[in-house]
Amino acid sequence: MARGKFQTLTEQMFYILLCLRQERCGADVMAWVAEATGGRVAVGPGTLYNLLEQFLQAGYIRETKVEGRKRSYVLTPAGQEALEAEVRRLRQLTADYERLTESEGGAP
Amino acid sequence: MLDRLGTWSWHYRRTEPKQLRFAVTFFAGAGRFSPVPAAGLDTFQDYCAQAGWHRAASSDQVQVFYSEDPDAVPIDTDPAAELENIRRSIGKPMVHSYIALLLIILLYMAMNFRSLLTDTVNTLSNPASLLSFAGELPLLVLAVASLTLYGRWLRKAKAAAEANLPLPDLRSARGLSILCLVWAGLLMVGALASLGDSTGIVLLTIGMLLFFALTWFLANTARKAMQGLRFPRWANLLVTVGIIAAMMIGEFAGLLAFLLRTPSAVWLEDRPPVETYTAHGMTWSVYADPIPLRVEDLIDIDYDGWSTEADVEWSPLATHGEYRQDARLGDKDLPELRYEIVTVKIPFLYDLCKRDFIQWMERYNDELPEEDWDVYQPVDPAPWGAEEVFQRYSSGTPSRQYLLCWEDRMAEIWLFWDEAPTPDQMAVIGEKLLNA
Repeated sequence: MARGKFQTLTEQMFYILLCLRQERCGADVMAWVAEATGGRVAVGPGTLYNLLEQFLQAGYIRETKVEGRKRSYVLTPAGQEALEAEVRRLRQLTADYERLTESEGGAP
Repeated sequence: MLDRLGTWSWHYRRTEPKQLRFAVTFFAGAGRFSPVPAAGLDTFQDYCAQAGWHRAASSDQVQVFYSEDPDAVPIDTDPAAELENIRRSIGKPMVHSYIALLLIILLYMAMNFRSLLTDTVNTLSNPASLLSFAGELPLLVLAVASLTLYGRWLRKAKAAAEANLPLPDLRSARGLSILCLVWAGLLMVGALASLGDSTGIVLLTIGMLLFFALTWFLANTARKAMQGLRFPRWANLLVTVGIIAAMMIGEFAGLLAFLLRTPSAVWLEDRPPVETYTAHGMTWSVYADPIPLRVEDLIDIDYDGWSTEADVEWSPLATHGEYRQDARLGDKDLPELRYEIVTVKIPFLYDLCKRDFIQWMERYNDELPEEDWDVYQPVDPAPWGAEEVFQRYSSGTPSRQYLLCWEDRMAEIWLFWDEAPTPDQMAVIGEKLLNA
């Protein structure tokens, strides 16, 4: 990955991991992300397939069942940790923004 | 509608006119030696179908999709994941292939340069050797250009992925590849044209080309069969390379055995002998090639059983002629003659050619005590009409072998008779070899 593997998560990585807190098949993930974000984030099928493969290799998700061509996945504790680390990072960004803009006289 | 991606062309089928969007993506699990269908490919295609993308055609890793929905979500929406996929599916295999090609070319170039330094005259005057140099250079440029283009693209793509921007287009060195193919075709024609007049050699070359085609066909068929049987990628690669290696070893062993069994095969010669005769239980050929200097030019002799041979090779850099005049086997105590004439067309190559003659003479000296060395010692060139003349000394004793040098020409001559050449004979030799 360009930024060092999973050091930070892109929006699409973030929402795929978030989606897989519950067991879901890959095909459902695309629809879930679009719905959950009100269409703001779209995960393309190539990106979905590649990210699921990479998350599997990294141990962030595991395959729960294979029914023909349909494969289902669920988040692992390592994936949960990655998700929480990203949330902490985002909260830190938000907190820094608020603290600095308030102390320096608000947003421009 | 695009239907099939072939090795050399794309195939289309007739269909109703429609407004379609096409997208090209790569699937890392599908490769030239990977099982077919590749594991996970059906799942990937299902995801694409769900997003409105249908498979149009594919070739190994390359997957082409189309969509009737103008607003369909693109197949790749995360530049970082897309970059990783491209690197894994086509980047690494391409880099490995070009590095292997580069190593093979560098090995060939090193061998050719070694041959240029150790067998200068034959290399410079042999069109096939020069064609070999000419064949390596464009491939070297292609490998370096492709690796450079990919490296440059990778740098830009990484920056784009960091900024979450679309990746730049990945361009191939297509123009250069086409030029290389055209160049290879021209070289092939040149190589066939330089084979000379021997029907046997031409047939042998065509036979070898057909054998290469058969090797490719067998290896390709086996590869596809193993893909269908779902052999692991490494096993498919190993068996395919094994088939090619076995066929090549078999071909060269067969060729060697054939040539050893037929050492004097007339059909391999570039011209028929004028006569044959039998001596010591073997058949010998007699030729009547025109040669510039004959024994009769130097000695009064009454003999009509001569065989004269001339073998001249020509290239834009040098011309090299090997000539001999032999008596028939069994006709004893007759003088014989052998000589080589080299005309160097590029002045700076002259010293290399001269050094080649001298090094060849001294090739065993390292293994001998100094008193047994073979050396060329300078002698007076005036009687020969040459600029420099060297005479061979073996173990300190002069022999009848001379190297004559002019401005752009040199000649090495062996006089197979006992008497030293007279000044008149020297003048005739010098004049005939200079003006040949």
